[in-house]
Amino acid sequence: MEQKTITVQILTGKGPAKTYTVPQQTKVSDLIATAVSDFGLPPGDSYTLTRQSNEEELSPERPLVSYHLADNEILVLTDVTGGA
Amino acid sequence: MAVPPDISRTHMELELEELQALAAAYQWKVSAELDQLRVTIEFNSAVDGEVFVVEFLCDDYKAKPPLIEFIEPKSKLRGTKKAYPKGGNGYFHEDKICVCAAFSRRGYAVLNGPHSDWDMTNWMNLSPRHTTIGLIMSAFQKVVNDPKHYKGRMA
Repeated sequence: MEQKTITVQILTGKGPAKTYTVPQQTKVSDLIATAVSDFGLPPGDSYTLTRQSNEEELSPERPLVSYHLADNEILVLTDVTGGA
Repeated sequence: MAVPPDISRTHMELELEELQALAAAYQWKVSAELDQLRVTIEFNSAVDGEVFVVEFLCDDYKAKPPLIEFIEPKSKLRGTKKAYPKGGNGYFHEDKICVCAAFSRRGYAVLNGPHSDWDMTNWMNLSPRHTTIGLIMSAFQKVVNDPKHYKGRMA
């Protein structure tokens, strides 16, 4: 059976948006890991994805489908650690 | 060792290009004075609509982190509590009134910041996920948009 997919755009402060079409059941954490690598960012488990439209932060353990994202929705990849 | 201004400027030009997409998404107002090695960015909190202005002064960049300062939007006063967001997951230091992170020059004790335990020349290893102006700005935007981390202005 063909897997349903979802298309999102991911933004960071480093370069143009990248578009990802992935199975709807993809875990947020897996998409983060892929994007971190694609943007050439150092690996780490402190990155988050946030919906740009309403600033909702996606839980890493949940599948993308659980957020009912719009087609081509913009997600922002960020790390807010390091404050001291 | 001092970094030639042309080298610092080249880093800035690349990083300004890299942050364009995020700047457009969040409607940042980006002003660059590359001859002065200065970038100023105006951005808003999605929580309460407050406007913040932050300046990056990039002499000796990237041997040293940028000198980051918040500026009051109307009076243009620099480095006041009124200029800074409150909270910020530890980024905004209320006693020293500075950005307190390894990517911020004013976080270091040599510039009256809180940290004598950091070596400024090692800033990109200390803060590997915030090594460009765009990555730093993405963190600032995120914390002022998040009610968990943002408590309005410092004063």
